[in-house]
Amino acid sequence: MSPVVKKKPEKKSIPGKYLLLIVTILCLALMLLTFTTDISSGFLDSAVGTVVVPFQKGLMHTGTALTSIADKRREYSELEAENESLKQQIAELTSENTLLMQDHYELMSLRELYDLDNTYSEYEKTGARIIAADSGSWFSTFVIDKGEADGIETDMNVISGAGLVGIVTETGKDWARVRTVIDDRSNVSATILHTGDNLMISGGIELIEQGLISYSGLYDQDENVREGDKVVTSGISSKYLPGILIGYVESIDTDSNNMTRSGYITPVVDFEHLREVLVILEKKQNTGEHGS
Amino acid sequence: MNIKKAVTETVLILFSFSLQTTLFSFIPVLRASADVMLILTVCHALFRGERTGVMTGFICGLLYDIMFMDILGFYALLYAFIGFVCGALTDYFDRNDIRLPLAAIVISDIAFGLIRFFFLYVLMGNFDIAFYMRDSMLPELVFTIIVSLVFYPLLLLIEKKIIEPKLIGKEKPEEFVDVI
Repeated sequence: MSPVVKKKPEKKSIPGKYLLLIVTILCLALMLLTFTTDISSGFLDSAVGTVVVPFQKGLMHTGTALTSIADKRREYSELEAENESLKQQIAELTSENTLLMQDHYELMSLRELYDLDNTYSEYEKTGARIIAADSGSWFSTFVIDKGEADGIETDMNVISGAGLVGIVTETGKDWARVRTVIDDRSNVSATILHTGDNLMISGGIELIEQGLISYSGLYDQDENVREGDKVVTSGISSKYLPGILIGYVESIDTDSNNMTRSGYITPVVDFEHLREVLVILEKKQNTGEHGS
Repeated sequence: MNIKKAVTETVLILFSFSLQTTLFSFIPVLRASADVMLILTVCHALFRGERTGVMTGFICGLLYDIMFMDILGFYALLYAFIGFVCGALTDYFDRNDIRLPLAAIVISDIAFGLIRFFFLYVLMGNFDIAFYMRDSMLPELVFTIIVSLVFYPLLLLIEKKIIEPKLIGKEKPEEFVDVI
């Protein structure tokens, strides 16, 4: 080849080196800005949300459709057996339900008499669907398909039927980001339901796989706490509403200081198969104002 | 930058991002998702050079930052650097041979995983690298390789059919210049 043929430069604009330099400076500035100040990413969030969320919803829809086709292939007999046992269960539940309803009405009238406030079944909630999850398996954050337009705000509690899932950390127009309690960065102050002892619950990466969360700082000199005790969110927490079920005590170990106990809790929520969640439209900071 | 190219680019980035964070994240057997955006960044960098690599990486990373991170710019910077390094390899790259892009993706994914481990976990007090490798990096790597085997031919096809016909009229790609 003759040296006359020179490699053409990539058009006339800036070379890659400088572009990288610019991008690097921009990124570092962004990191510094978002780390030191509290402005987070307001308008960027909503801009990106508007563009990306429809895409994610579409793909998620396709995914769900595919899964349902796969599910239909399940053995017919298996379904039949399941149907049979379910029918039996319905019968049992119906009779149980009537009994419970009687109790319920009795409870209602008694409550009225004593003018007691109901627990978290009274909070206003809204259902939401999970549309995206953090792809790294360690940080357990996910995105739901409702946002500011549906009245969701940062710090609202997220539950799923049985118990506490996490907390809203960021909102866009029609999406919101939720950090779960099993996340490495989560810390929740909680209470053992029957003894009233306080403890601290923190998620951990090594524990996600085993489906556990760890707790520490339980002060229980008389050893009243047993394995299997219910753990609920505490009244002294600044962000979590009191009395939401988190899980059950799995193990209790005495710390080296011989004063406090720590161990593991089995959460009631099945995080691996979570698809829909409920967001409580009431924040801890507000409850005092119109509570009793 | 013509309109067709811009639209293709945007759709590709959005598609990769959505695929990575929705469908792939919810396949129950796999604990990790394939890094589709990494594949996109590496391939684009190899196809078109450093500038495209840096820009694709930056936009992909920024999207991820905005959706999932409290601090903006971390993933954007990482992806941009990967785009830059792979862009420098363009001259040694034969697009019909999948080995170089595959190697680039594997090395990038490992480097990416280690950097992420250091900054996001070690600095937060988690040192269990064996666990991290087994539970997060390795499944992600395997899944990413499988996906790139499908994704690379697809990207190459898009490159040939949509991006390049426009170029031939205006300026010849390097291959043609070399032959003359």
